[in-house]
Amino acid sequence: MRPLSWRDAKVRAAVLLAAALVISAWTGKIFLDMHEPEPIVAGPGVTEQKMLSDYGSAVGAGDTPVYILEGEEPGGTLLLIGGTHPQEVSGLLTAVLVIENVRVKQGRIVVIPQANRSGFTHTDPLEGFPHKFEIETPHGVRWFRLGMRLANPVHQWPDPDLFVHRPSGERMVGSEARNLNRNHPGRARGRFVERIAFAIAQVIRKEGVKIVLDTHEAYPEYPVINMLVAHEGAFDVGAFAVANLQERDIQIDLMASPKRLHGLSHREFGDHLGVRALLVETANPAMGRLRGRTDERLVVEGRDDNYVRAAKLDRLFVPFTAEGHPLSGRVARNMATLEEILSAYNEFEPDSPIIVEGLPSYDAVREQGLGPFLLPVPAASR
Amino acid sequence: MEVELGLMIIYRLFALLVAATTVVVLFREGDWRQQVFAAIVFIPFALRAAGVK
Repeated sequence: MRPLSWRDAKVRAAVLLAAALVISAWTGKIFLDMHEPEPIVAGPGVTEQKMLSDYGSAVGAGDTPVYILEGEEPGGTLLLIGGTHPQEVSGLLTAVLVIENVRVKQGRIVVIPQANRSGFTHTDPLEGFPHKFEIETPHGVRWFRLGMRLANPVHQWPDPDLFVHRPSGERMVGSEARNLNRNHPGRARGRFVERIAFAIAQVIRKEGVKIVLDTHEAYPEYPVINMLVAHEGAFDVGAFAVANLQERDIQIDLMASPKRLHGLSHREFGDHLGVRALLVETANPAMGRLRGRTDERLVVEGRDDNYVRAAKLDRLFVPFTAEGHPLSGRVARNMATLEEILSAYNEFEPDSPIIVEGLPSYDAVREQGLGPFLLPVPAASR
Repeated sequence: MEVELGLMIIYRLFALLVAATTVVVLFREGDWRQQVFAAIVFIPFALRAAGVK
């Protein structure tokens, strides 16, 4: 029998095919692993846990947990949304800190930490994003998923050439068909992302939500940053909250939700659902075009020399020093924003307030980081 | 929704066809460079055919 040799084309083909199959299996596992959600621990204030699909909409792979924190006395209801755009990680962590720490004394807080669950299952091609990041806690390391702005094309495909928002008829670039924050208020029988948007609208309707805070991030060279965007129906609460934040030396501005920019939560929740709709933006250098190496360190610590240089050239819309914009500082801002929004809401709605305790304070999160506010993950959930 | 599902199935079948074609090329070609190229092309199309990507 002739010995096997690399010079034999058939042997070479078999070896190369075997190698290609091994690489396919290995990379396929990496893709599939991204569908595993990070563990979120229901804290002592969580009174009920549901899924988005419980609200009567077929969301399929977009199904995601909904946490309800209810007080003993009736009051108003706030919906906190994180993870509309999964690479805007301060939103997810803000929602997680509320779920794991807050106890509601009066009224209710409903939290959807991973609103665009599909977006957490992939990253943007050619962007070199890590798939997850870790945070040290006193009980060990907690990991969180880093996803992408749009829903996974595995779940909604193909993109149209032109995306037409319903019901406004506004036309946008085709890929925005997979952007949850361009699909509100959604359609029960629409495409995948429209159905997720519709399910979130159903949460607002069925849970009697009165005020919504949608948490986002933007890159430091984007003008709408360190900003609270408010529907005109939420100007009262938004203006009070921003004034109080500025009084505390937390730089934030108030922006009116553009009336002709459709599909966004701060526009459609106010127009179609009659709630006070607000959206907050913090500065995330890991998302920007000027960033250097995109790794876990950049995501968590938010330091980047390129942005320090850009700030010196006056090219940014936020100050940027060597200290950067760490994730803990961005979440701290959101905590302060939520605190002031609740305070302002209670001023305007004294008969149905939302009174909470255990909300991590701005100073505590900035000084101690996120770790002390994250609960240990039960062994069964790891 | 049914239309999208149909399109996705056709897309996956095309990806499977391309992946299968690269295997044919692998075994037909005598030049190692063409074989390596076929093996590289096989990987993303196999993942797409499997519905992973």
